[in-house]
Amino acid sequence: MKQRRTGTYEQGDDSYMKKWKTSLLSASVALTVVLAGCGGNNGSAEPSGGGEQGSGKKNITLTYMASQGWIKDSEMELAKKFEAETGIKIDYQIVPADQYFNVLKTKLNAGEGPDIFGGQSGYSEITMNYNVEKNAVDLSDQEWVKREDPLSIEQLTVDGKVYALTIWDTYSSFVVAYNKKLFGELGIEVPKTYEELKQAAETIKAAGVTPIYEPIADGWHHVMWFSEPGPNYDKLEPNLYADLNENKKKFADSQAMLDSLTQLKEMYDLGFFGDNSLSDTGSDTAAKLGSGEFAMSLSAQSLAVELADDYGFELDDIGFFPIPLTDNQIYYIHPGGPSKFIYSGSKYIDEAKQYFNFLTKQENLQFMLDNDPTISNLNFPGLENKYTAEQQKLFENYSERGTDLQNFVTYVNPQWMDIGKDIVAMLAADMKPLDVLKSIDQRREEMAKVAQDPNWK
Amino acid sequence: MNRSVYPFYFGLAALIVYSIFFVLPGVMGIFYSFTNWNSYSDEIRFIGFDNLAKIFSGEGRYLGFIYNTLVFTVSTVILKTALGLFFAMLLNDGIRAKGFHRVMLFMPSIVPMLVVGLIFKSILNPATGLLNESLRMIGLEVLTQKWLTDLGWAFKSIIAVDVWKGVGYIMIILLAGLQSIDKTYYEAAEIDGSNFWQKLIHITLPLIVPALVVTTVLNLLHGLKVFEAVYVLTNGGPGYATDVMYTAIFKEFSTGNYGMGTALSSVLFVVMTVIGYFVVRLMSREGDER
Amino acid sequence: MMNKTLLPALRNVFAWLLSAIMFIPLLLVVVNSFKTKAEANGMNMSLPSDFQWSNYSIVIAEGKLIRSFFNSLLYAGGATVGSILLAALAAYVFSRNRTKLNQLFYFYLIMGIAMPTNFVTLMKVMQWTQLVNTQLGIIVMLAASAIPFSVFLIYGFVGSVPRELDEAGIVDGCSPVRLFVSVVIPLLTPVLVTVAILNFMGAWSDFIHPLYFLNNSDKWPMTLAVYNFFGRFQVNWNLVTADIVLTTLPVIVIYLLGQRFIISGMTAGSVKG
Repeated sequence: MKQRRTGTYEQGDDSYMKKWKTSLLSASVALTVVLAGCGGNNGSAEPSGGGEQGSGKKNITLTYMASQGWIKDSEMELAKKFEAETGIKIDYQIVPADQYFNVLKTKLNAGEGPDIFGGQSGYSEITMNYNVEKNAVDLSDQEWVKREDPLSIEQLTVDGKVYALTIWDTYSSFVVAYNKKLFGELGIEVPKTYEELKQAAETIKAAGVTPIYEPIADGWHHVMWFSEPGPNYDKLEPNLYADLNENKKKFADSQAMLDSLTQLKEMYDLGFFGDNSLSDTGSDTAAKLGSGEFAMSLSAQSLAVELADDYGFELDDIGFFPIPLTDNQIYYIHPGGPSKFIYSGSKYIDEAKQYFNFLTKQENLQFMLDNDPTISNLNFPGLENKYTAEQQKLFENYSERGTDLQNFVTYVNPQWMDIGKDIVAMLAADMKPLDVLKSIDQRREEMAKVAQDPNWK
Repeated sequence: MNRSVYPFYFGLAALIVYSIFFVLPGVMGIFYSFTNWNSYSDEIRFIGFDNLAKIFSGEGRYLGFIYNTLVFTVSTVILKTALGLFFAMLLNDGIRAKGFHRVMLFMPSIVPMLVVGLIFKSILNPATGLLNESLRMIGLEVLTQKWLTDLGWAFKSIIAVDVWKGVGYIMIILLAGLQSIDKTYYEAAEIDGSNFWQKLIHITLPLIVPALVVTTVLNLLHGLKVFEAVYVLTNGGPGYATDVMYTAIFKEFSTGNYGMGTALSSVLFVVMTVIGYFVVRLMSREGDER
Repeated sequence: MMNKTLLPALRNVFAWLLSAIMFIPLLLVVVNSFKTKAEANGMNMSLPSDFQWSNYSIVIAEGKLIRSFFNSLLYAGGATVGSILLAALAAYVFSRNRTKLNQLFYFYLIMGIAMPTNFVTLMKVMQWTQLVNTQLGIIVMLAASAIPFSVFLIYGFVGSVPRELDEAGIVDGCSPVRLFVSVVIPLLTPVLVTVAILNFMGAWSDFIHPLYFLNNSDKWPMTLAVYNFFGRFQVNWNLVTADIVLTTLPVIVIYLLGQRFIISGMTAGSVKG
C-alpha cells in the first residue's frame, strides 16, 4: 500500500500554506489581469524601433508572407544585401500552400496583414480575393512600373492603378517536352494536331516506351492540358473569353472545350499516361524522362537543364511544342504569376517600396535570373536571358501568342483544384466530359453570386 | 461543509478561459451558419436555413461526405478498439522487452498526421512505394494494388493509415485499464477452472469498461473530425470518393464561402455533441456505481 | 490447450513483428534524412552512400530550428501547465461537489471536445483581447482548447481519491486550497502526468494557431519550418526528412521520460486500501 501524506499539519506550516494559497489565487487573478492588460504587444513589425540611426540606416523589419515555393533562394540572397545596405531586414514567412489563401484572407479581413504579401495576379483574383483597392498600396507611380512587361502590369491593374510587382518568368509556359533522340529513332515528327499526337503516342507505345508522364497525384498539373490551350478555344469560337466573363456563354456551351476534355480522356484511356499516373508526382518527372521510361511530359522548360545536369542529356536533346489538343498551335502565356503586394495598413510602406525598387534594379534582376536554375528570363526588358537553342526555336516556330484560360476568364483560378478533382473523376469514368464543364459552370456561378458580380443576376 | 471545502472559484479560471477563447468563437461561428458570410464582401445577410437546406437536399455531394465520415468513424472505432485491446493484452504480461514494444507501438501517435501522410503517400505509391516493392520482392506481386487511387482501395488505405497511427495511443489507455484489474480476480477464476475466453468475458471486459468508454469517445470524436489523414493522402480523391466532412468544410473556407463552411461544421458539431453526450452519460453512471 | 512454451514464443514473435510494422515507416524517414537530394527522391529503404550530416545543419540554419525549438517549448509547455492547472481545479470541485449547477458546468466544459475551432471568429476574439500576434495568446488558445479533454480525464480519476482523506484534512484544519494542493494533487499525479503528456504532444504539433495568430516568423514553432523545404513543384526529401526527425525528437524524449509515470501511476492510484 502506498504511503500517504495525511495527518497532522504543524503550526509552522501555516506561513508556507498561506504562500500556496495566495500564489494559487493570484495565478487565477493574474491570468485575468494579463488578458486585459496585454496591450503593448501588438503591431505588425518588430518593436525594435523605427528610428533612424546616425549612419542613415534604419533598424526595421518588414514582414513578408508568401506561399511555399514563391520565394526563391536568389531573392533571399538579395534581401541580405538589402539589409546590409539599408539596415532593413526582411522576415520571410513561408506558409503551406493549401493554407496560404485562408490565412491571407483572414489576416487581411481582420486588419492584421503583413507588410508585404504574396498573391496571384489576375483581375478577378486581386479584386475578389485580396480586395486590393482596400488592402494594397497603389504603386502606379513607382519607377519600375514603366519597365515591367505591360502584359504583366495589366494583370495587376484595377481602375488604372497598379497594385503589385511581378518578377516572374511569365513566358516560360509549361509545354510538352519530348525526347528528340527517341522521336528521331522512331521517325516521329513534332505533332501539330491532335491526330498526329495520337499517332506519335501509339508509335512510342508500340516501341515499349510510355508516351507521356503525367503526375496526376499533385492535383493541379493535369488541369493544364485543358486550360493552357484556352486561346485556341477563343480562336475557334470567337469572343469566347469575353462571353464567358460576361456570362453570355457557359463552359458547357463550348464545343472546343468539350473536344479538349474528350481528347484528354481518350489519351488516358488509350494508356498514353501509363498505368500509374494517378499516383505519379511532378517531382519525379526528370527521373522518368531521364531513364528513358517515358518519352514526353508537360513540363516547365527548365526540364531540359535538369536533364542535362543530372541525367547526362545534352541540352538540345529535349525539344518543345505546345499542347496540341483541339489542334492548338498557339503559344499560350500566362502574363501573371506570384506577385508582391504592399499592405495598405503597413507601418513601413516607404521601406517596402524601397525594397521593391531595390529588387527591380537591373543588376539585381540579372542576379535573380542568373541564380535561379528554374527560370530562363524575367518579365523585365534588357536582361540577358538563358534561353537555350530549343527554347528559341519554340518561340520562333510558334509565333502566335495568346493568354491561357485561367488568367483571362474569371472564377477559374480559384477552383483549379476542384477542376482537377472533376477531371480525375472523368478519367475514372465517374463523370462525363460535359459534366465536368457543367460542374465548372456551377462553381463559377456560386463564386460570382457570392462576389455579387453584376453579370450574374 | 461541502460548499466551503470545494469552493466554486476553483473552477472559475477554467470556465473563463474556455468560454472566451473557445466557446465564444464557436458560438459566433455557429451564428454565421445562417448568413451568407463570405470573404469577398464585408456585408453579411441573414439567409436563414438556406445553407442547411442545401446540405441536406442531396444536391452537391454533401450527403456523400456525411456517409464517408460515418463509415470512417465506425471503421476506425472498431478497428482501433479491437486491435488496441488485443495489443494491450499481448503486451500486458508474459513477453520480454515489453517496455520496448510498448514504446514502439506508441511512436506513430507522436508523429504529426501531416508527416505520417507524407510518409505513407510515398510508401503506398503503386510503382515505387515501399509496400508494393516489398510485395514484389517476396514474390507476392499479385497482391499489389493502387492503394490510394483505386476506388476500391483508397478509403480502406486511409483507414489503415489512421489505425496505424492511432492504435498505440488507444492501447496505452487500455493497458492502464488492464493493469488496474486486481490480479486476485484472475487467480480466483483459475482456481475455479475458467478458460481464457471466460476470463476475458467475465472479468476483463467488465472491469475495463471505464477505459473503454474513454477510448470510444476519443475514437468517435477523432473519426468524425478527421481531416489531415484524408487531406494529405488523397485530398478527397480519386474525384470525390474519399471526401469527408472536414475536407468539404475546408474547401468551402478556401473558396471564401465562410457561411456554408460554418454551416457544415455546425452540423458536425451538433452530431458530435449528441453522440458525446450519450456516451458521457454512460460513463457518469458507471462512475456513480463505483 | 496450447503448449506452454509455444504460446509465449509466438507472442514474442508477434510482438516483434508488430513493432517492426510500427517502426519501419519511421525508419524510412531517418534513413532518408542522411541521403543527398537525388538519392532521397525515391524515398526508399536503400542506405545512403555517404552520411550527409550536412542535411541537419542546413535544416537547422534555414529553418531557424534553434529559435523555433524554444518557441515550441514555450507554447507547448505553457499550454500544458496552464491547461492542467485550470482543468485540475475545475474537475476537482465539479467532481466532489455534484450540485446540479456543477454538473451543468461539467457538461459545458466537456462539450468542447466536440466543438470545432473557427479561426475567423477566433481572430476577432484575439483582437478584442489584444492578444493577437503575441506568444501569450498562442499559449492561452492552446490551453483553452485542451481544457475540455483534460477535465474529462481528470474528472473520472478524482473519484478514485477517497473522500475520507478530504474529511481527515478538514478535521486537521486544512483550507480548501491546502487540501487540494497537499493531498489531492499528489494522488492525482498519475493522471495529471498522462494528461500533461497528451496535451504537450498535441500542442507541440499544432501549427495552425501560430500561422493565423502570429505575424513574425521569429515566433514560429518548429512545425512550420518544414514548409521551407518543399514547394509545390519540388520536394527536397532529404531536407524534409531531416526536419521531421528533428521536430519529432523532442516529443519522443518527453514521452520516454514520462511513460514510467503513466502506467505505474495509474495502477497505484486505483489500489484500494
